[in-house]
Amino acid sequence: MFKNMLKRSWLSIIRKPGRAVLIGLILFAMANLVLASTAIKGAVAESMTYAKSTLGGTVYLQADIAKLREQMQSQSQGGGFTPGQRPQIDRPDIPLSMVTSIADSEYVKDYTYGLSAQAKASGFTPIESENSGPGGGMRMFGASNSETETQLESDITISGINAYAFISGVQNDTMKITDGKYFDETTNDQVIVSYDLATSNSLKVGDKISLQNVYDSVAHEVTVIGIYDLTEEQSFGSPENTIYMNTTTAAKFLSTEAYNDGDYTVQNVRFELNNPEQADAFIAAAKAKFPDMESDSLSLSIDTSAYEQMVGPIESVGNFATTIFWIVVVASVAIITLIVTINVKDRRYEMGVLLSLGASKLNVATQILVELAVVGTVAFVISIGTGTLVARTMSEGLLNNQIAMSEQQSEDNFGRPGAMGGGRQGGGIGQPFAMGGGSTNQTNVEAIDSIDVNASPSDYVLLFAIGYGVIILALLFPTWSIVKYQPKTILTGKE
Amino acid sequence: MADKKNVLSIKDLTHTYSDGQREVKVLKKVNVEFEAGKLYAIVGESGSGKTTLISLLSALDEIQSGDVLYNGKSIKKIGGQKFRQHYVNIVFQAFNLIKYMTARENVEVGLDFSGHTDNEKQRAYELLEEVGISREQSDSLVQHLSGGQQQRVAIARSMAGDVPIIVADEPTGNLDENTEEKILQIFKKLANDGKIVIVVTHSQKVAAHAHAIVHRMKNGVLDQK
Repeated sequence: MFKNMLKRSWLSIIRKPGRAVLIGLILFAMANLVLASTAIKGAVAESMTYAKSTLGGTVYLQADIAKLREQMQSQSQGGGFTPGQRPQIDRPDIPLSMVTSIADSEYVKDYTYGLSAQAKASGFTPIESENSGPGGGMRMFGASNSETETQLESDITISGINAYAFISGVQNDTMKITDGKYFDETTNDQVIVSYDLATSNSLKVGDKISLQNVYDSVAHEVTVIGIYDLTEEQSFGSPENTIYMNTTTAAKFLSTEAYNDGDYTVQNVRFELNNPEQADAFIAAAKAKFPDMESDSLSLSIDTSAYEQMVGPIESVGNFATTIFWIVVVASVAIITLIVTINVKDRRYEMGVLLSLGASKLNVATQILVELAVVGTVAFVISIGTGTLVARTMSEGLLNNQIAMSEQQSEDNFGRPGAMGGGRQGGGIGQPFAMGGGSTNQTNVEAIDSIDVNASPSDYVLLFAIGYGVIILALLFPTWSIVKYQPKTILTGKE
Repeated sequence: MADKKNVLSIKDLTHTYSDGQREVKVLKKVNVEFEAGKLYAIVGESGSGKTTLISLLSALDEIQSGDVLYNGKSIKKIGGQKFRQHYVNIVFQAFNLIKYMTARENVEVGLDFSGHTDNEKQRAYELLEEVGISREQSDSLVQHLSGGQQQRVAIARSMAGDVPIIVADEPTGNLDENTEEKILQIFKKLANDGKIVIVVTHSQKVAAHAHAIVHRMKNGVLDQK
């Protein structure tokens, strides 16, 4: 009997091809869009996973600026200042021991921190610039924790960071090594100097220079292992007089008090996580280790800007694909239901005849289902060939559109193209370390501007499942609305 | 399945139609028996209840009151679908053929639902030949056949299941006299083959011509003439 039902279905399709072609075209369009949507969603998910694995997540340990401002305001309102006294923010210290303790976590892939100090050139001449102080040097105050503010002469900025690669200028491509090599945590007493400083003093890679601690006047000999150049002019500080080295070396230029037996204060602390989704767990674990962190006006904050910047456009494309997917499914159910309703009404006589000949209601409904399923299967199979093409065209168009919108938005926000690459500004208030090309929290990642869209076998399975689901849903109401009646009612058209 | 002893009995069959505002009793306690091997004609004017009666006895509609029994067994117990599948076939005035199929394919549908699926193509040709449809006509779409030919196809389809009861509702209503005669001869032959054949008609002439046992239907009541 099933064979004959298939035969009847087949006859209905080939003898009334117009109806079958119409339904087939709608199902074909639906199948292409469903396949395109699922393929795009899959490609977006893969790209996002890739972005996560590439970027990880970033968590900053820094002063809680909002809290510090509140404290300052409450001091001001409470009359805590004497006339003429300027309000000041007391930045909390971040001891190195705290950083290393927090970094000792399964969530942390890498971490970085910085250290700034001043030194006096000994045996070579710093570059004189408008930003430098009188006589080419700089005046600075004594140790940060000292009550007494002693003016000390310095002409070199010491920038210590635990790895060259974490210097913000390196990360955002505004600084590069033109000669020699870069330093790391193990290369003590080895430094990189600016191209201008090296040229004016005829310094070469391998030369030794002497830098004097401004507090105890002890000179430390260091080896130039690299020469860097800045690709962008900086309007602040004296970048050409900044010498980079690892933190162990930089710590030699702190005062004894600031050195604090090796547990000195660091800045720009950044933890790179294995996975951005672990950020909350990481922060909770860190707070458990240092429960007084908040009361000490320190905060751990998540920076997903690089991740968001990288995946922003494709995430929008993915969301758009999801929207298209549901619109297509709902619209297909509605349109096919309408067509099937008209079709079933048109064929109610035939259904009545079949029922009068002893066909069961299920048999009649199944015949209509088989007809649609045959047409649908042909449409779905063809769409396997065309769906990926549609998906690629669609994703390319959507992605280009999203990128253009992001760039336009970026221009609108910052008044210049490419500003979206800026990421989070680091440093914080009054943090001199962030200036002059030191390590900042700034990130520079390119947004993903292409996705590899390919329909997978699971997409095809999903397509067929959704396709047949749509057919069944579209068939239920119109078919039941007919076969629920007695054959006589159907044959006399009184249903 | 066809046997001289087969009897289709109608017991106290009552049926009412309602249009929401008023109720019309179209059958009023109808009692009648139809025996195998005989041709019956139910005559009556339009609206007398003839079509309602055959709709109920062929399980095309639901029985409200009373019963229809085949060899003493209620069709309610047999089940409407099963009764239509194995016991009764109907020939309609409007033929009720599936238009996108050929004559043979229509007959094959009847063979399929009654479970006669062996060599059904050949069997369909034979049935169509019995009612005077040639091979060439058998392979034509039914919409290309004349009214008389379509009615023959409908009769062939009703014969396909080899069911014991054939019911025809105004089978010659749309046909010319010559064709009418040929169709009635087919029904006579079916009765002679041992089937219960019930023909509903408003024409006394058709009833007389068929030498049928005539029952008159008037205002929902059935009398034997």
